[in-house]
Amino acid sequence: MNRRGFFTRLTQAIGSLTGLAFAAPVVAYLFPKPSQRGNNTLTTLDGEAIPAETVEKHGARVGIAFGEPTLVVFSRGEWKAFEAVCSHLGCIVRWQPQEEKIVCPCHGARFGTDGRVVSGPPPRPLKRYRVEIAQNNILLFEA
Amino acid sequence: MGKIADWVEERVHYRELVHSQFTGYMVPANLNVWYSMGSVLLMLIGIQFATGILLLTHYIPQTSHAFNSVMDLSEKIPFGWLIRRIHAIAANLFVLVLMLHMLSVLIMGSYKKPRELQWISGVVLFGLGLFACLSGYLLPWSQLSYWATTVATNSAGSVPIIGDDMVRWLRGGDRVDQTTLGRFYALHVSVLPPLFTFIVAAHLFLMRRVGISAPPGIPKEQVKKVPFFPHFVLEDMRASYFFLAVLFVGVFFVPQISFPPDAMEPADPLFTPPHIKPEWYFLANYQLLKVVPNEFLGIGLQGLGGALLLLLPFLDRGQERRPLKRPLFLAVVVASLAGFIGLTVWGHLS
Repeated sequence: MNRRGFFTRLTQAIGSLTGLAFAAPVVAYLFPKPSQRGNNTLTTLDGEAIPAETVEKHGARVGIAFGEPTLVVFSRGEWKAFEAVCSHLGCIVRWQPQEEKIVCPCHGARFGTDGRVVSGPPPRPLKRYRVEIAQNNILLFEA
Repeated sequence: MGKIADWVEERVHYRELVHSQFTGYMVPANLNVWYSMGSVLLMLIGIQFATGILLLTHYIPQTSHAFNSVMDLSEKIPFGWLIRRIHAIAANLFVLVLMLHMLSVLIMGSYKKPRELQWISGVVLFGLGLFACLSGYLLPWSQLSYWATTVATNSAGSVPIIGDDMVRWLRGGDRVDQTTLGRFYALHVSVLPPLFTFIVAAHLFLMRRVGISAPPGIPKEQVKKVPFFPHFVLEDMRASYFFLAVLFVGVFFVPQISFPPDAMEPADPLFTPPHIKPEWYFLANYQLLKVVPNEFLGIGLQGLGGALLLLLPFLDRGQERRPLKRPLFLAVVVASLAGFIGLTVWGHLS
């Protein structure tokens, strides 16, 4: 390698290393940190606990539990809870009391009361939770 | 004025440049209206930059304020409604004209050697244009924008192994929230515009360097030439003013095409409105995800379509450019177009 070739390579190496030195913290800065799991009480987005009586009155309610949107259903005197995020494209599912199914408004998918996919494109069932009521608060536990 | 021009001319010799690039630059006289789509797109980019800067002066990129800032801008700031409508409807028109531009290039075979790089830069601009639309769509933080972004970013999750990480990286977290708004805002206002400008400049540079293509059929040497300025610029202006009229018909008479009822409600992360649908240019993709039973297959088909479009000049290497002499290619283009329109209409009606 002659003198000019050496300086060409040296310039390229310094440029590349400088670029890498700047790129590494930028990538780390933009990469999301793991989210903290919220508590197991069903709350509004503002963190206020949703009273069990409001769900009993309306039959179903979407709130936040474990930091994720969660659907709680009160039907035929029984409490049920599911993750509220459709496994297809992330839309929020809702309870359809007439047909006793959980429905996704985006692509019309239907889930049964056990969370399993009845029809439509979702690849996975909805995760289920066990429900306990304590002092009018709705508490969820891994099923 | 003339003295100032002479003073500048004496120092930088700009008249020679103007002559070589405009008045002395000869283009084929048989260029049809399809060749003016590029100029229409340049006009629309200018409109987007100007209105976007004006919108920035009032917009607040925080989930708690974004929707109200956009509403205040539309209702309380003089002509704020006009600026916002122009920005939103011109974005739709931009995608439409870009599709027409690409369709004309496909049919006239102008993507073929030696114009492969022009085609590739054009396809990249198309992708960037759609991404600019998507990122801008979230900014008003309405129900429509929130759920359109949720669905669009969630689509990346179907990629095997790295899908979930891709979704989190796009959103900046598990859900669409303040971090997502910050990312999309930064992309929309400070990353995409300069990137767009650079690639458009490269596209135009390549067009001048390689030479503008003429409609297929007549050998280029036999075609009469006319100066780019004023002859072809007048043709460009005719097309530009036609689309400007279309833009203002949309702005004044059918603004609801960009502002359906869900666009007038603030985002509620716990309630997806029924029958939520993306903008018309994403409807075919949205419907495909509904029709194809496997999400990965649906996304994979779209990715394959994009890759085929990008690599087209290397797949179709024949010299023939006349569309009727390429019946197989023409049939594929017509079938793809019919599929796109069919899925779009189906998605709209379903």
